[in-house]
Amino acid sequence: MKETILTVRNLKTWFPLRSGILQRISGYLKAVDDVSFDVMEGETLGLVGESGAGKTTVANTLLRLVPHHDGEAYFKDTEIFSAKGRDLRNLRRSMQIIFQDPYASLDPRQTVMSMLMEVLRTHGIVSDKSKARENALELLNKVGLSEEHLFRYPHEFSGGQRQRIAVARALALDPVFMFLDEPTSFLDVSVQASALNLLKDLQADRRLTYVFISHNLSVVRYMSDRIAVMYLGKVVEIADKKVIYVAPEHPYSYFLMAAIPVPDPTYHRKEVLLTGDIPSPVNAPSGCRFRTRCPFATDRCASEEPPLTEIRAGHWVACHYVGSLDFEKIGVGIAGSAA
Amino acid sequence: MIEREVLLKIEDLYLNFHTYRGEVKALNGVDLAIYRGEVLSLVGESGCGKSTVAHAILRLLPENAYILGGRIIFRGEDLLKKSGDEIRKIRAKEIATIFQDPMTYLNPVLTAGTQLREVFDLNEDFLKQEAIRSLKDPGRKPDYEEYLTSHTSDETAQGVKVSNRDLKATAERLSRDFLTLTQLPDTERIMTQYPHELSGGMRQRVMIAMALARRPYLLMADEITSALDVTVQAQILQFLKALRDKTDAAILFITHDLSVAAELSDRIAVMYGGSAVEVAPTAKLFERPLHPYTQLLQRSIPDVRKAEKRLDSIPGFVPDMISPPPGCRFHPRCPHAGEKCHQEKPPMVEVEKGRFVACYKYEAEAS
Repeated sequence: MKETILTVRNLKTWFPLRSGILQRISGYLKAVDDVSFDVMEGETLGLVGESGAGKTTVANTLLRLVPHHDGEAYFKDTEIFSAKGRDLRNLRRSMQIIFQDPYASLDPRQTVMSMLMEVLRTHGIVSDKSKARENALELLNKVGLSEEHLFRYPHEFSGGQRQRIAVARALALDPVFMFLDEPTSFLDVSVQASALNLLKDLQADRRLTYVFISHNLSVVRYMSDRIAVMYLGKVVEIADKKVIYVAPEHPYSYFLMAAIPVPDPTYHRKEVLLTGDIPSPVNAPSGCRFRTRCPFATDRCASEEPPLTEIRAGHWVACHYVGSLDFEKIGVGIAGSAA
Repeated sequence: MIEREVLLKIEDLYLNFHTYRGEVKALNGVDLAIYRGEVLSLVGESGCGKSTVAHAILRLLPENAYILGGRIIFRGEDLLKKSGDEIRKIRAKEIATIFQDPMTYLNPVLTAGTQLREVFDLNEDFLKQEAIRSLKDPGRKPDYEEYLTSHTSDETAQGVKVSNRDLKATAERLSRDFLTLTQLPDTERIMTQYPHELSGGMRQRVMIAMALARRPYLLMADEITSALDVTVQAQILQFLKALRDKTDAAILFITHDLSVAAELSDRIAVMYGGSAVEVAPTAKLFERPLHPYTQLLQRSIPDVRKAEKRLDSIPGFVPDMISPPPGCRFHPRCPHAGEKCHQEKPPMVEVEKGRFVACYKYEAEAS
């Protein structure tokens, strides 16, 4: 049995909306609203959903980059939101993030060497300069770059190389846990595969745990062990990837899987019926948040919010009518089940 | 098979951008033909020149762009030789474009309806023809088949006088018709809304409606689904597929995503480093890609149906277009590169009917 490394319970990240001359809080943008999940040691949990679902906010909140509103989260035995001093420092070392945009996440005025040195020094890992250089070089080699790149500035690198530098910087602290926030969506297709393979190899090498955030469902399936599907600040379904891509139970997951484009002209997708766009999280629909786009929605969905329930071991779904929905009837097919 | 009519032909197009860092050799001898009524996808990575091709066709190039050579023949005439007025007419009626980010192309201070109606100011003959028809038959239903297959207007309408009020009412009706055509719900309300009030998918549909309302011979769509969420992308793709069967306009679909291209196109042109390296019917391209770049690309994109297989990665990085590699621009990353590839750019050859590839590997096969 694998150990749980991260436990998130009832996490809420609400951004206050202010109005009037006194700037009183007039409401909240509920970016993440009552989210609970666990991450097991050594696994990759894929976090998927469309823009505005709250995937990135979950990562940013758990790293304490944005303030949380309510709920708790444990990294091993440390409560994340109340951690102080040494505990917090340790947390920051153990949990790292790779951001989406490698053009924004690297300081343009620092060479690769000084970027890596800064990290190593701040956390007091190495104080001696020659030792630090050795360390930095080793990190660069791990991500497929070499000594000649050590004294260059970010603008001298391509997007794929920059993302490798970001990975090296994150690895400098020898973390056990990494959030990968759309790490390849800024990369070209031809370098995407090598970046994904690098992340996979590093994980195997260093026993890393990943939370992989992406809107590209084919990439998520390639990278992850389990998948959590988010919609408008809520987790609507969590399951093993072998289950969720083949037989999703939540209607939203189903439509999401049905919409994945397949690189094969002989594959004929059945009709996609999901209409409309994701509503604004400022005034989210009452009850089940997906009900405004759901073809199965009833009055009950508007009045009562479905809780995330475990329908079988490891498969959690938030839908009143789970199990009784006939997806075949509405004529949607999913590509994942063709495998 | 009937010989299909070539609508647009690009011949040996070379284009540079002048920058302070040096000459960006963006297009390096592009050869491409688009046939009437087909969907041709232009697939490639950023910097391969696919958007530059679209901009060159419409002559919407920035000031620092220089065309060094080549021709763009559209309906028998070279677009590069057209005057400013002539090219503006072509943009208004004959070639319509939809771009990736509709927010930068829609006017933020005008409603969607106003912007749609403006299209008909540029297309007076069509507006007049429709006005006369609706005067004759007040209960007239929109004739979508004609909207999508005819590109010219009835000449007999030209001498007839129509009041401004009737023209206005007709523009209003046509705007609504074209919006309805893009399967937008609640068109009445959307007509009165400003771009910021619409979602990404809705804005893109308004752009599509504006493009179709021009009744173009050629519709160019530049990464129009890339900024959209998957479920909305699927809706737009589904709509475009339906449109493909109804219209006889050619569609040039530009994308970096092979999966999206697979779904929609009749033929695919793969671009790398400023020129087309392989052009083939979609099914054949996926069945047996010929160019080493296409082969590697196909094996490096994750397919949701085969998730367990380790992806092959293409070594190296996308070339710097200021000092691109000599000869074949793919040779530094190519597993088959030989002596000749370092020196001379391989010409595009037809290896079998309708299949073109620019690679010395196939030199012997070409007839």
